[in-house]
Amino acid sequence: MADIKDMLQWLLNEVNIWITKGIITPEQRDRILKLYKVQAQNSIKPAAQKAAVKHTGRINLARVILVLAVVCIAVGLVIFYASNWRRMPPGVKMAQVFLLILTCYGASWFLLFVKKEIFIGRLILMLAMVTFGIGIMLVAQIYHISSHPTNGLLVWAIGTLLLSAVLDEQWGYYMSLALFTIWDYWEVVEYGNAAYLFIAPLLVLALFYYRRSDRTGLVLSVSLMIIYFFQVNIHWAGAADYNNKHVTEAAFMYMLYGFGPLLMVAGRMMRFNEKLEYSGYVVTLTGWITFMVPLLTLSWPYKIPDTTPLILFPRGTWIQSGQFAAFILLSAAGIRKLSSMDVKPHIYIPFILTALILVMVPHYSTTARMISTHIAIVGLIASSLSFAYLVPGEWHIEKGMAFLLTIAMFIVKWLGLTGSAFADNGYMVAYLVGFVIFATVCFLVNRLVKHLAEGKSYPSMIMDIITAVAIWFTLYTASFKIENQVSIFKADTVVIVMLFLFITLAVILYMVLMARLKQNRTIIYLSMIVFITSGIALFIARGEVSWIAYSLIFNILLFIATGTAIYYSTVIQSRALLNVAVCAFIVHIGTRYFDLFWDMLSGSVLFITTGIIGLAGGYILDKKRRQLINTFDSAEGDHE
Amino acid sequence: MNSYKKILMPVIVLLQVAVLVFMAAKQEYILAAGEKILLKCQPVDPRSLFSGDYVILNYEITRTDLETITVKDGEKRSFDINETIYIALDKSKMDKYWKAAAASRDIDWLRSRYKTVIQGRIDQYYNIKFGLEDYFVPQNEGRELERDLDNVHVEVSVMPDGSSAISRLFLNDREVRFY
Repeated sequence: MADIKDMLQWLLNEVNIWITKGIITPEQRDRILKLYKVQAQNSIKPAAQKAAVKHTGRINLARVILVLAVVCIAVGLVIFYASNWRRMPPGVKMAQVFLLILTCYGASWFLLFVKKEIFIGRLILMLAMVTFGIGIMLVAQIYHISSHPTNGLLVWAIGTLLLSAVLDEQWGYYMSLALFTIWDYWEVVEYGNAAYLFIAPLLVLALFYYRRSDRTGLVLSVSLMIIYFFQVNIHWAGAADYNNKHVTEAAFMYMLYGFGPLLMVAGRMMRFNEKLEYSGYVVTLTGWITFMVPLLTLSWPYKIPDTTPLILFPRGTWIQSGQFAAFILLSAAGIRKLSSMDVKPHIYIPFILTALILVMVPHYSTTARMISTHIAIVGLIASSLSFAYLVPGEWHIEKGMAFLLTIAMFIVKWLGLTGSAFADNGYMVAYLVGFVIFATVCFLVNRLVKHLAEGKSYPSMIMDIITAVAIWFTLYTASFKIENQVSIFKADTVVIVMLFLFITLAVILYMVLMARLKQNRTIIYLSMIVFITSGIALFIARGEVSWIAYSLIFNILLFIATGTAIYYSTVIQSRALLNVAVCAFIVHIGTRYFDLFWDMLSGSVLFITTGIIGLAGGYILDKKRRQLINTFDSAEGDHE
Repeated sequence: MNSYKKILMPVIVLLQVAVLVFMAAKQEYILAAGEKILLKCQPVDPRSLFSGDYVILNYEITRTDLETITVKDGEKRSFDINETIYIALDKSKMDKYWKAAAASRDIDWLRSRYKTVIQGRIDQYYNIKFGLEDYFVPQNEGRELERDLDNVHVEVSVMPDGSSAISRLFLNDREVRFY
C-alpha cells in the first residue's frame, strides 16, 4: 500500500510540473487524477510540494545556453549599429533595422501563439524589444539628433512596457524597469532634472509585479520609489532661492526625521502582506537609515547660518515642512492601524516623538541642537534596544537595526571625537575623555537592557565587546605623551554643557543599575573606576599639569581596562577573550617600554605602581576565590 | 496565450515601428523643406560613447552673449536652465556664416523682424544647445575632423518653427561624406 501511496504522490507532483511546462492544462490534470481517484492539491504533502518546486526549478543547460546566446546576439546587434559601418549606407541600415524588428517580433509571435514554444518565443520577444531600441538609436545616429538623448531611451522604455503589459511578460517588465532607471539616472545626473515622470512607470510596474506576485520586482520598484523620493527632494532643496538656501537645506534634513518613522511603520505594515514582505524589509531598513543620517549629521558643533526657526514653517521650506507634517501624521495613523492589528508598535513611538521635539528645537543654536540630538541618540539607543527585545512579536529586523543604530552612532562618535582630539591638540584629553564618557553611557544602557531582558536572548555581548575595544583604543591613544592642555572650563559653553549632560546621564544610569542589580556588580564597579578616573583627568587638565600626570592616569586606566577584560573572560569562561586581553596587555607593555625608554623614572613609577595594584588586586581575588571554595566545601560537608 | 494578446501584440509592434518611422520622417522633412544655412564650428574635445563614435560640434551661436544681444522690449535677459530660447540668425552679403542677431522667448516677435529663427535650449552651463551638437561618424573615422575642427562648418536645415537638423558637414570647404 505504501508503494501505491508513494506512486500517487509522485503522480501528484509530476502533473503539477507538466502544467508549469505547458504539457497539460489544470483541467486535464484533474481528469488524470480522477482516473486514479486522487484529489488534486489537497493530498499533496508539503515536503513533496517543495520537492516539486525544486524539480521545476532545476537548471536546464539548453535554456541557459539559449539565454546566453540571445544576450550575445542583442549585445552584438547594439555594437554593430553603433559602429556605424561606413560600407553600409544609412538607407540600407534603416531598411535592415526595420526588417530586423519585424522579423524578430514576427518570429516571437509565431513561436508564442502558433508553435506554443513559450520559452524560446519569450527569448526572441526580448531580442525584438532590444531591436526596437536599436532602431531608435540608429535614427538618432543617421540624423545626428542630439537635442536630448534621454528621450530616445524613454521611448524605448515606454514601448517595452506597453508590449510587456499586453503580453504580461515578466522579463519585459524587468527590461523596461532597467530602461526607465537608466533614463532617470541620466536625466538626474547628466541634465540635473528632477525626472518627475519616473514615478509613473514605477507605480505601473509595481502594480504588474504585485499582480504576478513577483517579490523581486516589487522589491526593486519599491526601492526605486524611495530613491525617487530622495532625488525629487534633493532637486527641490538644490533649486531653492539663494536667500533661503541654508534654511531649505536644514529643512530637508529635518524632513528626514519625519520620513524615517513613516518608512519604518509602512515597512512593518507591508510585512503582513505575503507579496510585499521582502519589500517591507527594505522599506523598514531604509527608514532606520533615513532617521540615522540627519541625527548623526546634525550632532556636531558646526554653525548653521540661518536663524529662522523651522517650527514656524518659514518661507522657502514649505515643501519640506509640509512633507514633515504629513509624514508625522501618516506615521501616527500607521501606528494606530498597527495597534488595531494587535501589533505593539512601541518601538516607533520614540522616533516620532524625537522627530517632533527636534524640529521644535532652534536648529541654529549649536548648544540646543547638540544637547537635543545627543539626548535623542542615547534615548533612541535605549528605547530601540529595549522595545525590540522586550515587546513580544516578530521584530527580527528591528532587533538588528537597533544594534546597527547603536553601533553606527558609537563608531561615528568614536571616529569623530578621536579625529577632533588630533586636530585640536589643546583639547586632546577633553575629546578622548568625552568619548570615554559617551561609551560609558552606551555600555550602561546595554547593561540596563540586559537586566530588563532577563530570561530573553538579548545579545549584550556585542555592545560589551565594541565598547571595550573602543575604550581600550581611546585610553591607549591617551596614554602617549600629552602636553599643553587647555582647561575644559575655557572651552565653548556647548562642550561643557555636553560633558555635564553625559556625566549626569552616566550617574543616573549607575544609580539605576546599582538599585536594580543585586549581583554581578564587579564589571559595573570596574567601569566606574574608568569613568571617575578619566573624569578627574578631564577636570584637572590645564597648561601647568605635567604630561606625567596624564600619562600615569591613562596608563593605569589602560591596565584596569585590560584587567577588566581578563576578569570578564574568566566570568564568561572565554579563552578567546582572555587571549585578546593578554595580547592587549603585551601591546601596552611593549609600547610603554619603547615610548618611555628615555624617561626611565616615569616608566619605572608606572610599572611599579601597576605591579603593586596588580599584586593587591590578584591577592584579593585569589583570597575571595579560596573563601568561595571553602564555603562550597563546608556546604557540601553539611549536606552530607 | 490569450487571443486578445495574439491581436494586441502586432498592434503594439506596429505602434513601435510607427514611432521609428515618425522619427525618421520628421528629420527627412526638416532636411528637405528647411532653409539651408551655414554655421561656423568651434573646436571642442571630441568624445566617443558606447552608442557609437561622434564628434562634438560647438557653434559660435552656442555662446551667444545674452547680455548684449537684441531682445524684445521688457523681456528678461536671463534664461533658466532647460528654458527654450529662440535665436534669430542673420548674415550680410559679405559674410559666409550666419550669426546670432537677436534672442527671445517669443518666436513670433523674432519672425516679424528676421527671416530665420532657430530653436535652442539653455543647458546647465548656460550655453545654448540646438540639438545639432553631435555628428555621428563611422567607428574610428572622426579623428581627421577632430584634428581640424577649426576648419569645420555645417549646413543646417531650419524650419519656420525653429526646428533644425544637420544636412551636410564641410571640412576646409569640402563636404565630408562617409558613405
